[in-house]
Amino acid sequence: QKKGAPHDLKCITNNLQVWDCSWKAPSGAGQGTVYDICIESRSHPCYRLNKTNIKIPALLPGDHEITIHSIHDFGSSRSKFILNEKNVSLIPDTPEIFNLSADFSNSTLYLKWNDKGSAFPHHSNVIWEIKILRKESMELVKLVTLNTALSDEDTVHHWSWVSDMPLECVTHYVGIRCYVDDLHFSGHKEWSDWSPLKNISWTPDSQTKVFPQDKVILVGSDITFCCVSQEKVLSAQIGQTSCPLIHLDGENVAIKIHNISVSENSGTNVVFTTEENIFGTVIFVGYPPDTPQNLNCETHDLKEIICTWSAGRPTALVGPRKTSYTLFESFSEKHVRFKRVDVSTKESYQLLFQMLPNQEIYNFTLNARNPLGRSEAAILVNVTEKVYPHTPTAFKVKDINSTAVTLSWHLPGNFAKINLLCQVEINKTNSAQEWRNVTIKGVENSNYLLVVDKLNPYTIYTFRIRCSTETFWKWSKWSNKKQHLTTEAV
Amino acid sequence: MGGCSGDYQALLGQLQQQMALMQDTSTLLDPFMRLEGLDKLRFSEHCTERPGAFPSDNALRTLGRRDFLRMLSSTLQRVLHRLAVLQQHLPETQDLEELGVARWNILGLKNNIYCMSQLLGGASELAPTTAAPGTSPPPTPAPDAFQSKLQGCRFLHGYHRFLHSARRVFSQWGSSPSRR
Repeated sequence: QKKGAPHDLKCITNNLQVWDCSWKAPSGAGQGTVYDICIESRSHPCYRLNKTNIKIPALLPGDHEITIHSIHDFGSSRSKFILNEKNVSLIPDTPEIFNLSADFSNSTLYLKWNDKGSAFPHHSNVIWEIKILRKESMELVKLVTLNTALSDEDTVHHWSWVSDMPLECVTHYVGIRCYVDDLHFSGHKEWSDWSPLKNISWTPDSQTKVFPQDKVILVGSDITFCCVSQEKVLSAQIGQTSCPLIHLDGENVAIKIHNISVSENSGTNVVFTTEENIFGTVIFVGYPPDTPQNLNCETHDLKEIICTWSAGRPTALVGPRKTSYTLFESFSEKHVRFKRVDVSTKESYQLLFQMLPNQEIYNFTLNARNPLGRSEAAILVNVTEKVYPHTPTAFKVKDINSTAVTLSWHLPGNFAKINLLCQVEINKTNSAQEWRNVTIKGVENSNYLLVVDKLNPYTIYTFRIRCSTETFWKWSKWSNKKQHLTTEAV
Repeated sequence: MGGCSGDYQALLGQLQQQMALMQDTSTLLDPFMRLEGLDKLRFSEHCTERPGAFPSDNALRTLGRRDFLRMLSSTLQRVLHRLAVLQQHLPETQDLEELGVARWNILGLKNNIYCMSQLLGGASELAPTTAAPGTSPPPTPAPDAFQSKLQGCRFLHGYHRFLHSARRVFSQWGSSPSRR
């Protein structure tokens, strides 16, 4: 191409709809130069301009002849070019982050940007690249690629990132660029420029110097602690272990912990020491709740259901971080929450669930939850088959005649809808022990009577009784023993 | 609470004995530091008493006997409240037994202080200590866990020092209950 004429024609497009073509002016062309640009076989073939670039609607695939005629003070010159989509570069507009925010409590950055899809003629695949830099020295800490598709309209995209370094201790910068991978476009495709960087930094609002504060994490995790300090930090320690300092901006420092081990109940202390001061935080390192073990539900009295279970693997988390249990019954959609006052030993837990009128089948799910996760166990119970009666009380023996007595006792519970199975133990001095099983209609008022006959007159017997249900689950404990001398035969 | 002994020497001796026991950091501060993992750090230089948290040595020495006893009683009452708050911040599965023992010791000490005040004729404002079962001050929002530990540690450090100082004042009391 002759330097004396318009040369080096280049066209780019940002959105596949408009080509932005520019050329070099003929050597020696002055300010007043005017250009006639004519595009072959176009409805609007020619344009007159006084600058060396023009925006034209995108041309159809194939070769197009374009003539640029420059008219300047000492004459004119003309150049012909063959313009083809293949020679055009698709360079998207520089994207813009329109919102960058942070949740410092969980070290998370939130990014929002608009893909300006409405500018494109059809759905194109877009690759976004997001870079995150840290410190004034702009260290690259994260480069991530996302794929989206352009639609007919502008779409706002969201992306979040959890920083390994607490956001309070160092400024983070975020930039984004894109690459439109349009399958229809045969020209050369390039990345857009990087967006202007947006940054997030923390403005100290409290005494707090060390981050994260009172975090709860899983055993074996990696974690970075950092300290915001105006004074030089001399050392850092986690538990009893000293750690190498990572210097951030100013006097701020950080330490990286790998594969952290379980903490004591009071947590593991992380301490940064300066000449004058000590700054610290506590990390609570534990486990999510194990699946509740040996979940069992039974009733003593068909009024209240008692569910018991054991916690399984200890979580090492106590106090406000301990495991909370909720017992949920799906038919009635009722639930009860475990509170500390509910009796529990270190191993086993217990919850009371009030029985519901006319409901015998209960579908329980026990949810266990702590800051590190949750688990559950389930049990389907027909409570009439899970009766473990209280110990019979107020056990009495009364004579009927010399060979028969009446036993009476109190068995708390509303057993009107079921049959009880009770066992009487009969001891006679110098004689074998005898047990008699008897089925008794359950009653609501908990008081029971039973005739025991075929006894020997004028003989000392020792009686005691225990009960279960016809659909056997567990015997109650034995009642107290009652010694009784039968009357003399008449 | 038991009645007061009228024997000045016995009472003074008892007060000094109690304080000799309670000023020892092994009775409360050391177990607290172990429980909170503070014993693993080069921490003692930072677990220092916060100025103003307890009456200074000098302040105690310059008071008259009755004012001294009054100061002792009111400070120990404050300690009881603070120990209750400290217990609340310890998760329930972490009973610091020594905290309960300290509480009873303080109640016993306060009672003897009351008796000494009565003996010196100035006990009206020092009501005998009755442990109000179950009443504890409303939980104050704990700062972050580490600050909570640090504050607890500094407080207990001051508590032991205060008892040490008070015991020294008692040791300078003469053998007769003359009022000053």
